[in-house]
Amino acid sequence: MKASTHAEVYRPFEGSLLERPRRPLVLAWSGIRLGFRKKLPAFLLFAPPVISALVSSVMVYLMYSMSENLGTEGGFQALQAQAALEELLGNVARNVASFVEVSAFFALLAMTWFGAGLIADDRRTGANLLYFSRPVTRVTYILGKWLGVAFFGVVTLLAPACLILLTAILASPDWSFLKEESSVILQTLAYSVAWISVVSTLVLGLSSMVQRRSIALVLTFGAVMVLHGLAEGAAEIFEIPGLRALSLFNDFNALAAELFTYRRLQPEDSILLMGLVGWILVPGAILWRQVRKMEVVG
Amino acid sequence: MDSPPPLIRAQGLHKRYGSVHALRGLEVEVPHGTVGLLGPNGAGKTTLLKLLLGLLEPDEGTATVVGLDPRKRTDRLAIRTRVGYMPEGDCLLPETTAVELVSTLGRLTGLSREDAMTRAHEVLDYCQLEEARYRPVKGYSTGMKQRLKLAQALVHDPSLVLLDEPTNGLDPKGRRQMLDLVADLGRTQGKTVLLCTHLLPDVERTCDHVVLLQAGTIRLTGSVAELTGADAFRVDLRTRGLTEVPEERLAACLARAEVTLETRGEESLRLALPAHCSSADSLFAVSREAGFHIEGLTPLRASLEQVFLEAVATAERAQEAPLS
Repeated sequence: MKASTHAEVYRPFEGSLLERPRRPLVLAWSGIRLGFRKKLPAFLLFAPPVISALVSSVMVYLMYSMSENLGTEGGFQALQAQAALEELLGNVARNVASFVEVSAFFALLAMTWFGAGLIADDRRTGANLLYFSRPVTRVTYILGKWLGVAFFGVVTLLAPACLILLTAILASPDWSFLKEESSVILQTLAYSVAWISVVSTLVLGLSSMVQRRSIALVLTFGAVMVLHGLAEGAAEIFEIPGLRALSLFNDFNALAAELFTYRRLQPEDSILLMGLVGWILVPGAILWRQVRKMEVVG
Repeated sequence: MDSPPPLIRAQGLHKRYGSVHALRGLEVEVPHGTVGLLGPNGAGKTTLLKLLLGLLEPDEGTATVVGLDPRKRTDRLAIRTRVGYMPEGDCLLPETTAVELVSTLGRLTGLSREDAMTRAHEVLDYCQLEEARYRPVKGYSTGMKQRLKLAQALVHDPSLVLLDEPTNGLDPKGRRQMLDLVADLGRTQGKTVLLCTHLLPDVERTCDHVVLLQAGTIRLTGSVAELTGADAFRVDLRTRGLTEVPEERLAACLARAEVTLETRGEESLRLALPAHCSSADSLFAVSREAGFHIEGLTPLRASLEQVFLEAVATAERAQEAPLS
């Protein structure tokens, strides 16, 4: 039996509404909170990039501290030891670049897993009606959902990369990393932001086309993997290297080559970079069109 | 004293979905108070609500809500801060809890984080969801989901509340709880409530005014009291010895008691008593004076159902007339 603890009375609201409420952030936070409801997937998806970021940070720290201990006065032996150390632990800038490229795949997994349902579930349940009966515009809605997906990219890609960069900055003697290799910081940020932006738009664009999260998941991985296979196959068969631009991975490889300059830029890389624009424009247009349909509820 | 201007006004509203003409030149003014938007399924009720919120655009005609035009972007957003909307469908994300959902929607309307949380708890209390507020919505009964939808419509304390079929799928107890809340909002809290339903008893129980919508046009508007004749007290009398009473004598006796004769049967009378009449004493005085006995007395009140059916039948006859 329910105990009556208080009178259920209606209390009028005495306050006032905010003039500039941050609606996109409210929507984003609502999506993030839903994502963290299930702990196991969150653990499985966030653990690898976090662990690898920690390992990379330790390596960077060791490299700087050991090279400092070796000093430069040891002559040939010291130089040999330095070279051996670099071979063992790698170059810091190269380490960061490889970390970002590998973590980008985990970011793709996490963003797709958590973002696939953000619009599909709204469509299935009709929750969009609750949002659009509030002062929420199409732009607010898209921005809110986009920030929600991007958050998972930040956690799995940008934040770990920043951790390694921060370690390098702090561990390097006389702030040498900041002074001499500051471009690595900008390159890492640019690559991570580009990846997060493209994947967020892709995930949301495909999520807005269906009414089931599971279908949106399959669609997103399908679009990325199948197109990669098709692009590679078609480029080989028809001997048109430009077809590789259909693959998201190829496009980002070209971007990495351009940004981190660790390999020579190939002639087809410019086409691949154009492909990257396509990866943002096409899902973006789909997203815009689908959300317009959701806003005007027939 | 002048009555306040209507909160909702629609003029010549047309809305078509392909070949289906959902609203056909709808003209209506919704006064303050609890108003029932009554009509069979497919009458255009939900379409009208969505037009009022700017969720749909009319093909023709205009509408204003709290004096604002939902077709204009800035007005539309302003309307949505002043209006609470409870949709008909489920539309709740199953993984969220009631507190999360209501506070998020409150913040989207413009409440600060603290206000949204406080209001969420208050309206959930009011809607009797206090014990379930931290449970995911997927475990809720239909009645709880309906009350949660009402709570989210009230979180920003709107002056106008649009309720689309709030008693859909509810058992008798849940229905009574919902109707009590709707009646309280309109009569005690002073909100204007537009209750959209196809259930006549819901309107009869909670509403002061009724708007009857059928096939996209308004068939009838007025106060429930007027339409059901509640302010004139009418009775059916079963009599003995009435056949021997002359017409003139009966008329004179009734006139003296200010009672109006509506119909006279062999041993029955249908009478309308004056508004100030508070008992049946005058009827017994008439019977004594005229010389007949009263064997039975049945108070009469037209139900909204009769009014509804009559209005629909009249409309249908009017439609058929040009064809024939």
